[in-house]
Amino acid sequence: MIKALFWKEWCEQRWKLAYGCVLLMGFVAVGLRSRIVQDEVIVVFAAAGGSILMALLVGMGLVAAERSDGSLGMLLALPVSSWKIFAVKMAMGALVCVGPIAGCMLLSLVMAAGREMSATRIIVPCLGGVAFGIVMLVWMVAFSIRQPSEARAGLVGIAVFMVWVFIISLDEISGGGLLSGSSLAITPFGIFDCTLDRNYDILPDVIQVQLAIGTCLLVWAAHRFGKLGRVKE
Amino acid sequence: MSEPAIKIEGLRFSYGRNEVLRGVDLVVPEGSIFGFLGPNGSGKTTTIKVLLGLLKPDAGVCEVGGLDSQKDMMAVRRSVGYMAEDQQMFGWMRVEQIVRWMGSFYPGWDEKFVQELLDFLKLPRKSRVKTLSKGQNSRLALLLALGHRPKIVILDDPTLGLDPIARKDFLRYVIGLLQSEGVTVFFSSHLLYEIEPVADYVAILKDGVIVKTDKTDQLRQSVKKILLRGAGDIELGGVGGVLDVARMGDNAAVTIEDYSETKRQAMEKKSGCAIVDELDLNLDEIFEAYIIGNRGQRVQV
Amino acid sequence: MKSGAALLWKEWREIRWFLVAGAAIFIGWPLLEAVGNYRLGRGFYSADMPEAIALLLGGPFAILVAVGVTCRDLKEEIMCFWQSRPVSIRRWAATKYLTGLAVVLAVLCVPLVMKIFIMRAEHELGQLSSILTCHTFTVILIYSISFLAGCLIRTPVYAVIFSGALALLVYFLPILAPPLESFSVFNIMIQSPVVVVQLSKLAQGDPWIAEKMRVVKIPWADDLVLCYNIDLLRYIAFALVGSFAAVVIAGIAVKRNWRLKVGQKLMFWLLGGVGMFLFLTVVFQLRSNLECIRQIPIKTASEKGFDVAAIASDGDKGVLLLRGRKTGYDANETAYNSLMTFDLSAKEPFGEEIVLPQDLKSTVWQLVNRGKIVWSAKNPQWAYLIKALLSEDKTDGIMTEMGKWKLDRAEMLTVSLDAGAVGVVDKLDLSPYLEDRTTLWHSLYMLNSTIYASVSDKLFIFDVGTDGRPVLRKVIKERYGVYGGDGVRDVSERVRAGISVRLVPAEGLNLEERLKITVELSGYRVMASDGNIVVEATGDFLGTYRLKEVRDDIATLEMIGYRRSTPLERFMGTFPRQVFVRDGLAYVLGGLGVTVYDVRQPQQIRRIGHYAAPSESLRAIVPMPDGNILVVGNKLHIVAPPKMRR
Repeated sequence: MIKALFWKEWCEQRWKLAYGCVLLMGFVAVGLRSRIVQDEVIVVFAAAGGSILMALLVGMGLVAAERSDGSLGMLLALPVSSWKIFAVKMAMGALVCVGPIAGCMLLSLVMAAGREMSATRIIVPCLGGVAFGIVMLVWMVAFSIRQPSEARAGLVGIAVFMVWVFIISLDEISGGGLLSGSSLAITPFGIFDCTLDRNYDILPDVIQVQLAIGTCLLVWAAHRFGKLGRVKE
Repeated sequence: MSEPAIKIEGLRFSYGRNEVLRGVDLVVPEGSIFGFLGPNGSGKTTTIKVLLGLLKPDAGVCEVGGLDSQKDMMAVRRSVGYMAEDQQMFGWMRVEQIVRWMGSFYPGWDEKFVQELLDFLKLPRKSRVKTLSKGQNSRLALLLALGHRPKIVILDDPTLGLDPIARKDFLRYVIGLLQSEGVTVFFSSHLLYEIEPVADYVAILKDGVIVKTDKTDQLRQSVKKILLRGAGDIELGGVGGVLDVARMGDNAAVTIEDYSETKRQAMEKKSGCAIVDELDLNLDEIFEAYIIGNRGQRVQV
Repeated sequence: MKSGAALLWKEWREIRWFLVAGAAIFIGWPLLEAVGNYRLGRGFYSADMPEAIALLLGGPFAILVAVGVTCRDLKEEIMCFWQSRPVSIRRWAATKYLTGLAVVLAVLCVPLVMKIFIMRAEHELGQLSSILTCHTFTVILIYSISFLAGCLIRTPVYAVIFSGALALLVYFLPILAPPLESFSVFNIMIQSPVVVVQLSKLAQGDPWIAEKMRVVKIPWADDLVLCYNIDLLRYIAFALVGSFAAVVIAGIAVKRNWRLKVGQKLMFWLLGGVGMFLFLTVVFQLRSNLECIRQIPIKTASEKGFDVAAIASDGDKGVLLLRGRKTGYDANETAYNSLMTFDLSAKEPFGEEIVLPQDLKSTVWQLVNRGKIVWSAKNPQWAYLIKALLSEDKTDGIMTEMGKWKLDRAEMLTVSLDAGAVGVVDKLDLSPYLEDRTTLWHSLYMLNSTIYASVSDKLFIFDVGTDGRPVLRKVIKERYGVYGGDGVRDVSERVRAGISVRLVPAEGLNLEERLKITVELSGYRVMASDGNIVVEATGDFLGTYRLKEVRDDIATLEMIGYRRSTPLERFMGTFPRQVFVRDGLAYVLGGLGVTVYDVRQPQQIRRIGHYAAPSESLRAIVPMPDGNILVVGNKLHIVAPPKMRR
């Protein structure tokens, strides 16, 4: 049964994986080959930009698309717990988010390791990007799970991102302090920020906090996922 | 004779290569309740949309209240009350808001009448449209169609999705409100049993052409099912108006339109069989015969 | 209420949340920054946020509003509902378009206007006015295109994606395609198309303002005038015509029920495809295609990194002037710390690092000038440089980025490069000869055993003796340098005017040598000569000149060809720093790296090669005897020349 669910999700999401890989890896390949900007810019941009793009693309199609198609009711009527269905969706979504960034990392290692950046300097931001992508996916799905259409889910996803950017910038504008160091862990950018700044001392704490927040969000989302209810535009 | 409320001549329309209307001719007398029947996909909604100027026909002329529906479409829309199939409205508006908003577009909007209608149709003024039930939604759509006191009302499958009681209630409202005021009601449906008691006229649309138009009771009288007793092949060739032939036990059942004494004799002579019985049909059965009748010339008993 | 008012009321009720969200971001964000600055005692202002948000988010916001206003009412069922009523489509479209546009413009322009009002005492509003005048019309165009997309596609997500792809093209295609240069909003904004200037300054005759701009008096300010670039009017016309066409087509599309049926995959691939196309176009124009044969990292004692401030080399050997980073970037704090010799043919390329005395100071921005150190392969154990000491003078000083300064002292230093040497072995004080202390710039050039030093308003000529110490031979006050073409913004003017070179009055030198020295010492002009032609590199073009005539020490050069920088090159900031010419190729060191141009046919200059080391700040290029090029940044890069087509 779970295998069937995975297969269904795979068939629905695989084009996004292909899309992300072609786009991001193409960008990395061309950027590293042409050397119009620093290698680090290419790698970090691919990791950060790719994670946001994939999280948004995957997040808005994971649940909202099925809801607007009307097939969610049929899915929930299957003799499988709704949380399992949700878990399968999230797992596949995470794979699709992670795949292109991992591909970029491998490509960067092949093309540019030892040139301007060491292998470690390439791997670390990419792993940070992977973590960022998964965290953003969880946040976006958690808040947009009841949206009736992909458009609304996309808007909610963008709003979640913008709100956090706003909060962080507000903190900086007001002199900083609240969201620095370990406190950044509560924001979706925590892990990525640590990897970029090479702040490895606090990284384990940040990961733990992110895991805790992510778990709470997932549980909340799973609970709401199972309710069909009256979701009208 | 007064000007017909709706006149359609030679109407043709295609969606791409798919020709939906293939020369529709129709006249709706003023003040009548006209049932426009047809199976799903026959072109009923398309015809109505052309009447309102929402679609441009490939050929033909449509007049509504004497106005050309293509050239004077704004005037047509101002004078006609329209309720679409499964009408969707602006969900965020409250009932009173959408009523007031709609009134801005009709010079003849009767606010007093509308307020009475709101009470009569039991519509909650403060509720948002998206929270209304299906029945309330239909009644609101009807109110919006009637608020400007139109002389012609076009209802496209108005009872779609309603339960039997809601459907009955709805038709009661429609007829109750409109019949006495001499308003022409043109409404499409595929539920014959609800049209039958209220419609003065019916037209049957099949594959983009009108196969029958007549007064309802006249139609009931003119279409009969004739039972023939015989054996072996019963030949009916040359007898005009045969809609359907079937075997019914030991008899052949022939549904025939415009039944008359002449046709009776022709059938007996042609088939060589005795006519056992002549049965009256309801509109459902008549509709079925027109739509899916095999137009057969021979039956084996 | 009337039908028009009813439509307006409905639109307002549906669109107000966009206004709230837009106001929160476009106005709220800068306001918060201003409050933060005020609390920190910096004054109530927002530094760059209104402009940054307008540039970054103006387009996306316009897309969301346009798609939001259209797609909602164009769903099949809703469309049937309102279209079956006597609602004029023209009025419907106009109400939607104008309401949405009003929201977009309010959100976009209010913060910029607020900032202009707050900063009105500063007349040079530069970037702010550029964004308000140029970018606003770009946003109108994007809004109109998105409105059309919404009317055609009718599915919000796909319409947004489609509009996003078109917006990328509107913003970036004109930069990448030179024929479309006039339609590039960035190109127009870079030119500061709208400035408010004091009338008195205009009366002094700024040629650039006079030639390229039109002047309008400001009614409420007697001494101020508004100058606007006529290119701006062309751009605005383009944006408005495009917007109008989009809206008209949108109205027709709704009336005739035209619809673009698209799928999700197609839209995403379209967006990705447009992005990749633009990126590939950039790459095609700016890519590195010269082979780097060898890279040699420079190892210094500096703990926090270093910059190569200057280099003197014959291509194989030479000396580097290094600035170690210790204290930061304040005047008189950062020093160029050390000299290091190098020999590329040796097994160990670098010699001992010679740390210079800490009293050797200079302002940071001086270090970017050329010719700060000279050296000769004939006497490789000596290097020579000018030590300039500046002091702050708020009254008589010349205005710089870091306030008003003047030249206090200047010394010619001789440094010994021998292993174990003490460093500075000789100092010649040039201060008594200096009159104009407001010229802070200086340069050096060495030819054979003669050093030419341009300091302040004087030219110093030194002869280098056998002991390596320079002896001052002559001090000349006469003006020399390259003239003409100043204030000329368009290269076509340069073609007519040409340039004049007042040659260095150095005896015993032929014309080519005098021209070379004058060009090397000429300061801000990036020029070089190979004896046949003179090449000049500016941010706007690469020009070739030939000697027309020489009369009374003035050489007149006429322009024989030029290659205009592409919009992309200007956008990326290719401000040249150095150029040399060899074998018909001009090698230009600029912000993007080393670019090679084929000037064998001076009338048809072609860009044929590029080398970039984007992680480094490239400081100098030196032709090597074997035909390669030495490129100096944080490493020494030995780069092969481009393969030439015969």
